[in-house]
Amino acid sequence: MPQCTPSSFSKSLMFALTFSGILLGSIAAQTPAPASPQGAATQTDAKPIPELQGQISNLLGEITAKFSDLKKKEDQEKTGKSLEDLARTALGEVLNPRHAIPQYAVILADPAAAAAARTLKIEADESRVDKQIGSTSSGSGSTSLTSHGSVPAILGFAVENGGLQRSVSGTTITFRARPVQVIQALQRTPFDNAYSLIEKNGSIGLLNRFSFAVSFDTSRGNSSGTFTGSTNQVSAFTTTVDIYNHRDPRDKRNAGQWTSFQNGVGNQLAHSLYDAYGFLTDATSPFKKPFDAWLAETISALVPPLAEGRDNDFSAALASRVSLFPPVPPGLQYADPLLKQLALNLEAMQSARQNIFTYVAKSPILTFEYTDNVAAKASSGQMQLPDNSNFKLIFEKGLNGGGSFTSNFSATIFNSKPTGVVANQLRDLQASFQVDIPVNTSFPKLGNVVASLSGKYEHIPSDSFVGMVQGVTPITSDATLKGNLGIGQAKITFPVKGSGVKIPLSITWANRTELIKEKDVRGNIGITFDMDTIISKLKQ
Amino acid sequence: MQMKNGDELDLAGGQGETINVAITQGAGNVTINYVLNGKTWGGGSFQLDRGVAPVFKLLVQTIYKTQTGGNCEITVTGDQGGDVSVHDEFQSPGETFDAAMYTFVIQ
Repeated sequence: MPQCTPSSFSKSLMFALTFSGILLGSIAAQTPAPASPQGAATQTDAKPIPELQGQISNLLGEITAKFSDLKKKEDQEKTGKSLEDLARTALGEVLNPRHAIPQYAVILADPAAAAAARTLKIEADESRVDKQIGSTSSGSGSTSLTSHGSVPAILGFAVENGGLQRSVSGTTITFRARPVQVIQALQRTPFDNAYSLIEKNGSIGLLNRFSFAVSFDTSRGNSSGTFTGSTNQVSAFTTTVDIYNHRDPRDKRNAGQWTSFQNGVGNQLAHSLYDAYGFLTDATSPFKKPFDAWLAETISALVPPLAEGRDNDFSAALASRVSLFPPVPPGLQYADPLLKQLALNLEAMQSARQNIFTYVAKSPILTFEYTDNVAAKASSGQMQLPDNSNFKLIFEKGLNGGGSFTSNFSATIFNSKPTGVVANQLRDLQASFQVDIPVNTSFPKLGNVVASLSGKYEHIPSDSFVGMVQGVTPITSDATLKGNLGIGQAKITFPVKGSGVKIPLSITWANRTELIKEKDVRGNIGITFDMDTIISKLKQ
Repeated sequence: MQMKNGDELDLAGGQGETINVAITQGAGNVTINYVLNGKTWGGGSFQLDRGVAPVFKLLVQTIYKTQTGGNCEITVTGDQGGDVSVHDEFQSPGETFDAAMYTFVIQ
């Protein structure tokens, strides 16, 4: 039976959303171009963002950045130029084929896509399935039965409501961070410098293998159901260590593949771009006249919304002008082979590049995770359990088609063995697996939905209290009863497209809980925030 | 070497001037390909020569090794002093490559 508690969940959600706003504001103000070094590798996108969409987004960013620079310069120099003058200058420079040759090349290679450009929107990708953002499976509010091997490169946090193996469901809020990259982001270390530093400096590289998380159980403390951030709501501290993780395409292990790529399809595309520039600008080109006319009209159309700061109108007008890019007259002897070769070389580059990403995404991950679970404080009349430590080994491997297989093996011990309370220092042994499959949906507002199936086995060697009598001994919700648990879970995770937010919904069946020997079926809901995606989106 | 109209890709240099091209940030994020006057070029430096072409054209293509957040900085200088051209490329989601066409008018 589903055990969600809407009121507590909504309070936690409100906090999380507020916190995300503060955090985003803080990071946006302090770092110009952070990104997701870890997140870059394992794209499993069944619906990749079209190249044209990315190129228009880039153009949009370049024009607004140039216009902003010119305004600052004018503010300093006071030459008397109007905003319209500055907008025209910015557009004239950035839309010049010197700067915009990639955009024009993509349009020339696929005129049909360009004609539909007005329907395009800026969006970010968040289809990775291998990141663990929420709490570990033993948390009272966890929606994950099996932990994933990699965590967000910079920051992530999650609010989850439910419970998988405990007898009581709850709401857990988890904050995760990789300190090296958080510090680098706050120090305004450029993206590549940050990655180079990590790869070249052994000490920093070693430190970067560590990430940390702290989880809060909102049912604890004096204000049960409300996240207060106080220490008495802390339910777990987690340290994660990457033992083997080469899911970054820039990893030196992939250098050979990139060199072949560069010398082959990369070089061919570069020559096609060079030729495309000539096609647009050479005085002898039959396309120069219609292109120049289109460019002049485009600049005129874009000056007002840019100068007046009407951002939405400006991006719509830009997409509209792209859709009106002049068609190349058929049968041009000069143009036909050039454009055909451009389209082939562009496709070959994209395909070869995706092959490298796919190869990298299948690379295995081996991670060690240590979690110090803070026992819930016993109320008067209850017996207090000691804290416990969970040692977990996580293995993950990419599957064909973009999915992943993950398995966990763990042991939990009590941190102490108070006489008359704990009978056996070993609390439990666990093994679990999970298969994640991206699902291609036809809903444009959704990103890539991920369906997951997982199973878990847990062995509890003895009751957690000496002489415990079920239903009689007054105990906390952390207590366990000797026996074996089998848990199965089906989960579906909905990303909110372009936002870095994911909402996991799951249903879990168990032959018993850790404390009650009865079958149990629960529903779980959560919300996770992947700051890597959010931060990279701030750059646009 | 001088920039024309404040555009870092629109350049002018003297006859015989040696132009140096360097990826000053982000080299690890991208693969770089150069085409100089229609021929594959390996990067580094070249000399402006009216006898070769009145206007040198250099295409610098950057293909991103990341799906989003990639960036790089290209710096072009001339051995006779003057301006320093710094051009940045930033990757938008969905964007697999960037390119910049430098033109060098020989004065």
